[in-house]
Amino acid sequence: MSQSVSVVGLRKSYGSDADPLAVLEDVSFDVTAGEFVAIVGPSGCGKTTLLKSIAGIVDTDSGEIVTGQGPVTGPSDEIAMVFQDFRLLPWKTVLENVVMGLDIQPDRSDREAEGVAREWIETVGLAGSEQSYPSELSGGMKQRVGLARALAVDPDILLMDEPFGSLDAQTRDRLQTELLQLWNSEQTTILFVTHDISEAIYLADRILVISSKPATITAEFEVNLQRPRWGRRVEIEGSNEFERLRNRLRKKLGLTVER
Amino acid sequence: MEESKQQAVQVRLSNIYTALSRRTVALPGVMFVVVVIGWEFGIPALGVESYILPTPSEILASFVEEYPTIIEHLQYTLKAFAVGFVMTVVGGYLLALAMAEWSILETVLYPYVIAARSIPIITLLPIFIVWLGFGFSSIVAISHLISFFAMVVNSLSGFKSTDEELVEMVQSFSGNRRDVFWNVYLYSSLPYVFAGIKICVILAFTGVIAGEYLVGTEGIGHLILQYNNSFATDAMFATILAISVTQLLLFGLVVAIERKVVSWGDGVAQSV
Repeated sequence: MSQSVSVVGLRKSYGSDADPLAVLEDVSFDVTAGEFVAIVGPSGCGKTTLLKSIAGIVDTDSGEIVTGQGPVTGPSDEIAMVFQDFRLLPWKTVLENVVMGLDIQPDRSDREAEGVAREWIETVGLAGSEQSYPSELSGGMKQRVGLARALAVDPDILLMDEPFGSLDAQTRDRLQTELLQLWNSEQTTILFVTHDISEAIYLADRILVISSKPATITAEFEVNLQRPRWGRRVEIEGSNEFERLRNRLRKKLGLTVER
Repeated sequence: MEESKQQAVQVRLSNIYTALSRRTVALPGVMFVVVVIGWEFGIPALGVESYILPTPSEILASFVEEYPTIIEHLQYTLKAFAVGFVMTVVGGYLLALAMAEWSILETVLYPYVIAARSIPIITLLPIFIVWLGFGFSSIVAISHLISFFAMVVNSLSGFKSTDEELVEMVQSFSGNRRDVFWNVYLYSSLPYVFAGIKICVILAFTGVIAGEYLVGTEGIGHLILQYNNSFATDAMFATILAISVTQLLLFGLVVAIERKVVSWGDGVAQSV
């Protein structure tokens, strides 16, 4: 299952009424059901606030967020989030961490939750680590747990906040490819925030460029690269389309184009 | 089979030997032996009378002799301690939780908690005697109140030090306040809660002894005074020895429980 997301005229500012600091300024965009959309922008530009607004854990000042189920007024079972800093519970094992999200949902027995959790732990390649604590895992393994925890609740919309940003290059590459395979089989709508241009192009159907302070959408790019993309990463990254998109994105983000 | 068992015993013994020969264990041990020997032979040599300061061997002999009486009174003391201490830990934890949950409670109460923690509770004892009479209830009240506020303050700092990002994560899965408590607050506060319990073991136990000094008709504090009245200094020291050992055991028990409970992967979590 997947759902669409519409964000209309979203505004948000922090600070006092007299001296507000605008974070989101009239942000509007649409994501169709099952689409993989990347949001690219400089660090600390309000992308995280945008995702949290959609997740329903941050209040906005004005504007509207509507999913296939209706307006977002708070956290819902249809939306799950993957965080850059993993946010695993250090006092719980891998299994307990993945079970946590399932336990919160009503109408699910403990045994059923554990079964689902075990399946997802295996899917993300962590079979055998069920009883490990987060402190015993590498960064890449921690984010696999974060991914399993989010996917286990069977969300229609998956929000990912720079999920691979703190991982080393090889781990990041591998997880990007695995994410594409998961997305292919789950058909979830994915909103993926990153500041890594190549990552955005490799993964997404569409890329939204967001400006810094206050954040607003300044450009939009379609990624016309054939799917499935895994297994042909070198070919894709050497293609003219990839190069063209990369240069345009760099220019849009105010980075000088090489060559 | 037998051989491997023997080997295991040998490894164990050599482990104990290595542990004992470590400087941090060996030096305090040497210190202890020197002090005891100095006390045993030096003090009588200086002409100090036994009723002023009995020697270690006299204290030990007295302990063996008075053992049944000491244990009987110690049981009474432990009963009062148990009631006061459990009231402190449960009540203090719950009040701190309520203050963390409803900030209005914290705003209203916190200054008084801090003030109450700073005043010497023991001075209230005469008032408890008026209210609760001479005996068990007054002793429990002192033991409880002398430790209660430390428990509140420590537990509250535990709840307040909780990583808000984890709370947010649970909320993103539609977790309500109860889910947040059972998944995050309960655990994140534990190191602080145990720091509080460790302080409270000592405070509550001291509170009972102080109460027994003043209003007790039974209990180990009362027993010390009885020995004092009959100039049985060696028995007084034996009782003090029993109190010290009991308190060390209680403290050790809490530390052992903490090690068991507050351990997630990296051994013991950050201690406070």
